[in-house]
Amino acid sequence: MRLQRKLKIESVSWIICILLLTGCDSFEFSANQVSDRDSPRDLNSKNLTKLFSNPTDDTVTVVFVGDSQRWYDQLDRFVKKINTLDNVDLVLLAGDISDFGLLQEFEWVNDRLSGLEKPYVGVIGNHDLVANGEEVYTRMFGRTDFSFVYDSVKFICHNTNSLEYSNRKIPDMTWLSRELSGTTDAAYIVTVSHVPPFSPLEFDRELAESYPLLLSQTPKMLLSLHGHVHQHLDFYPFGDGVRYMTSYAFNQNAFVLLKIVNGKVLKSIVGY
Amino acid sequence: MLALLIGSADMNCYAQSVRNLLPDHFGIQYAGSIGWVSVGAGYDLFRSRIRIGLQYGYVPEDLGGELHILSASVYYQPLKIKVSRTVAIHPLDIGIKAAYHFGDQFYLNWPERFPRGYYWWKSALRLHLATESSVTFELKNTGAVKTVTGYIDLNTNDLYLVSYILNPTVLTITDIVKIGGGIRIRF
Repeated sequence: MRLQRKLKIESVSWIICILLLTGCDSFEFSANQVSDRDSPRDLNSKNLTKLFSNPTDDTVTVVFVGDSQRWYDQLDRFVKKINTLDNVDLVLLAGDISDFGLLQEFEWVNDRLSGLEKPYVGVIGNHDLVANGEEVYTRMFGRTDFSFVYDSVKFICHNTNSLEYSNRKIPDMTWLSRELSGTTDAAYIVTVSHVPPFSPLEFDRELAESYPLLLSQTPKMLLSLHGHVHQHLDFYPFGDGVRYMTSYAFNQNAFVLLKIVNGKVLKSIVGY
Repeated sequence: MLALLIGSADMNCYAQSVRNLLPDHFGIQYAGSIGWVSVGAGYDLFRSRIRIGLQYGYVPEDLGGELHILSASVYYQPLKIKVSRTVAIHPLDIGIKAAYHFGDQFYLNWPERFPRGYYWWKSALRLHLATESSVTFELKNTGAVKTVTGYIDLNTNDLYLVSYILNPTVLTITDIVKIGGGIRIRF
C-alpha cells in the first residue's frame, strides 16, 4: 500500500514537472490579452522591408487571399504551395486573419505564414476587430490604414469594416481620398480592404455610393481587392469602370495569382 | 434571566450563521487565463467533493491588458490521496470556469446593429474546461490557518476547443492548454 502511494505521488509530481518544463510559454493571463512575451510586433512594416529589398522587374506578382480564420490545416498547405512558386513578390491577406479576434489565433496564423519565403501583408477584417482584436492587430501588424508603393503600383490597404464601429465613420474617407489623390510615385493604384462596398449589411450605407464614386474618379485606379464574401468574384459591380475582385477563403483551397504588367492584370487561379 | 438566555442564544445563532457564510477557502493565483494575478474565495461542498469559487483577476497594461476579469468556478474532486498525517494530494480535480471580461469592447449581448447570430459566441464571456492538481499541507499547531494548498491549473476555453476540434491534425493539445498556479488557504 505504501509503495503504491509512493508510486502515485512520484508519477503525479513527474507530470507536474513535465508540464512546468514544456509549458513555460503557456502561462496565459486571459484569452483576451493583447500581447504575451513572444507575440511578434509590426509584422507589416517588417514584411514590407523584406519586400523592398526585392529587386523590381516591371512585373508585380501578388498572391491574393483572404479569410484565414480557423483554417490552420489549409494554411499549412497554402504556405507549402506558395514556397514552390517562383517570382511571387507579395502575399496579400485581405482580412479576417482571425475568427474570434484572439491573440492566440493571430499567433497561430502568423506562426504558419512566417514560414513563407515571400513577405505577406495582413489587412484588418471584421472578425479581427472582435473583443480586443483591434489592439492585438495594431500591435502585431501595425496601423489599420496604410499604403506602400512597390514597383509601379501603390497598394492602399484600409479598414472598411463599418459594422464593427458605432462611434466612428469607417472607412476613413478623408484618409482614403488623400491617399488616392497624392500618388506621384506610382503609375497604378490597387486598393485592398476586407468588406467590399457591395456588402450592404457590413459596409456603411451612407458611404456605399461615395466610396465607389471616389475610386471611379481616381485615374490611376487599377483594382479594388476585398475578402469577406468567401467566394472569388471579378466584375464591375457599379458599371463605373472600376474592377472589383474578391478572394477565396482558405477553406476553398485555392488562391488568386495576379501579375501586374504595365497596367495589365493577368489573373490565374491556383489550387493547393 | 430568560431574556439574557434568549439574547445569548440569538447571539450564538447569529455568530454560527455568519461563520457558515464565511468562505471556506481564500486563494491567490498566477495566470491560468483568469488574470495575471487573481484573488478569490469559495466554499467546499458535499464533503469536499465539490469546490466552488469566485475570483477577481487583473492584467496590467504592459502584460497584455489592461483587463479586469470576474470568474466563477466549480470543481469536482474525485480523488484524494493521503500521503501522511499532514499531507494530501488531489491528483486531478476537474472543473469548469466562466470568465467575464469587463470593457466596452466585450459583449454579452451583441448590439442591435448586428443581425441575430452574426457572431455566435459572446466576446465578454469565455467558458473554460480546467483541471487542478494540488498538494495540501495540514498545519497542526498553528492558529487560524488550517491548511495550505499549492496547485497547478490547466485550462482551455470554448473558442480554442472549437479551433482544435476543426484542426485536430495541425493544432496540438499543448497549443490550446494554458497553465496557471496558485495557493489556497483554509481556516
